Amino acid sequence: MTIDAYLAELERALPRMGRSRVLREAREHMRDAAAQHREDGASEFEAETAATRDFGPVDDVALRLCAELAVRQTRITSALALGVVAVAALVVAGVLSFDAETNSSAPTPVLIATRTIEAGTPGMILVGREMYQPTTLPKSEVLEGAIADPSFLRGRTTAVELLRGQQLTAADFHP
Amino acid sequence: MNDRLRGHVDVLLLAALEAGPAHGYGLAELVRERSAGAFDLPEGTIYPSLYRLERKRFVASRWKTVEGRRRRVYRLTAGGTQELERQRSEWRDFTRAMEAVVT
Repeated sequence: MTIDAYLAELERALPRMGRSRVLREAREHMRDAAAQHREDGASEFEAETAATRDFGPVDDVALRLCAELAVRQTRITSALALGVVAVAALVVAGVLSFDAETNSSAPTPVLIATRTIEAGTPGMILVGREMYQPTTLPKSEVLEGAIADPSFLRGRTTAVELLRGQQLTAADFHP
Repeated sequence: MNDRLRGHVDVLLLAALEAGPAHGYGLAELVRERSAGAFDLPEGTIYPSLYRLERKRFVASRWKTVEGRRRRVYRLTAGGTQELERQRSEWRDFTRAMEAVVT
């Protein structure tokens, strides 16, 4: 397979978002590899065939790239969602500070779900798939029993469905 | 051999970057050479690892022109150096225990 043919297949297999950088790096990589093979005496065709073979089966490479690109996309989306939550929290904190409740706006660590989490999901899955994100909220916004330490999740299972943006609390988990 | 490697690509890349900044192709070559050819990864699979390491801020990268070619060059961050040390000591504990039991 030529480098161009390989890249065309890879392009088809990848999501649009973040794809151009990946394709550019892959092209440079395979050109370097082909140049090395030519230096070792391979013909142009042999050199490109070896370079694409060494890069790995398109399906295999694309699958892993897709997984990583998807995490990035989720991150961007959840960062936006958390941004909205943070702004709302700041507004609330601002309003509360007018009440001279100085303590209630103290930043307090919490864990926030970054996606919908089904009831019955083991805590280790939450950890492994990064289904939550640590952040801080004004103390007055923190729910009773809110979890700040991810090690709490170990050996526990969610008792209810959790929605994106929701704080994780002890009551949401089976002991 | 390559199946066993799958979970360890990230640490191999961090270790390879300790020698200095490099682009993807250079890293693939370095890993192959250092392992005396034993670790012959499908080279394309190092990129998902590099992107993951970058997302975790263990490495940073930028485009650089080298000999008239544009290359994405990766370097270890301070956090990446720490992570490498952490994984290195974990790895030593693991191999020590394995050797004690298996050999």
